[in-house]
Amino acid sequence: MRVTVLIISFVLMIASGVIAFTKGAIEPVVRNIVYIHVPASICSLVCFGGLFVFSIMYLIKKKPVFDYLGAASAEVAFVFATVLNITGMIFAKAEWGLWWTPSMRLISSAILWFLAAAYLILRSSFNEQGNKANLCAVFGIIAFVDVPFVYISARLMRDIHRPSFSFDSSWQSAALGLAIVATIMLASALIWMRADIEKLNKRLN
Amino acid sequence: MNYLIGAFAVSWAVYFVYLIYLSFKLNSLNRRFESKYPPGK
Repeated sequence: MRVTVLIISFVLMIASGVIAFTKGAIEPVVRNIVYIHVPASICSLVCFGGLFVFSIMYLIKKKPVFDYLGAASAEVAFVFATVLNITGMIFAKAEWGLWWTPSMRLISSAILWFLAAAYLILRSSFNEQGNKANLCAVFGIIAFVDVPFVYISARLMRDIHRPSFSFDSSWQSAALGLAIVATIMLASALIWMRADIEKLNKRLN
Repeated sequence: MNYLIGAFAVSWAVYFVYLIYLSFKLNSLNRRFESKYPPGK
């Protein structure tokens, strides 16, 4: 099942790439980075949402499975936040001529990466399961505060980063939609694998 | 164009390296689990 999700995700990614570079190419060519940057950003926010939900579920129900899923969501969020920030920096260099600038959207996205890293460091610095899971769940809930801020930062305040991207043709919207679906499927499969690792580790120790 | 290729290469590299890392880790844990608790015993 997990392999099927991964295969479908890669097929959709390739389909999105084919549409993007044939019928849906954006001018100037460097702006085609949106086909990677936007799905990665949506996925990192969705993973942070998962971390928030699983942390609350763990604190309410105290079932280890929610702790495993929360930890998996945080690690996958870190991976997507890394891609988000790297592709964002490349896009910024190509569009604005600088790798990074202190704008609210860019700062809040960098904070997102640091929060995911902090969660992983916090998790690796504890041995005892009960305390570790409780503290990580509380941190996961607090870390979610940055997510709405990332979303509204470029919409509410004047920012060098545009709030949304307008397309010229429906092919471009279709390519981006496919890329978003593919990346969310990839994220789900990765969270699934990571949660299984956490579960097996717990059983073996 | 170089920026675009660079962005695609970095993102695919990150996804693939992480996916391969998870596959190896999951396989090695599965092997350890099966040697500790053999199936059918």
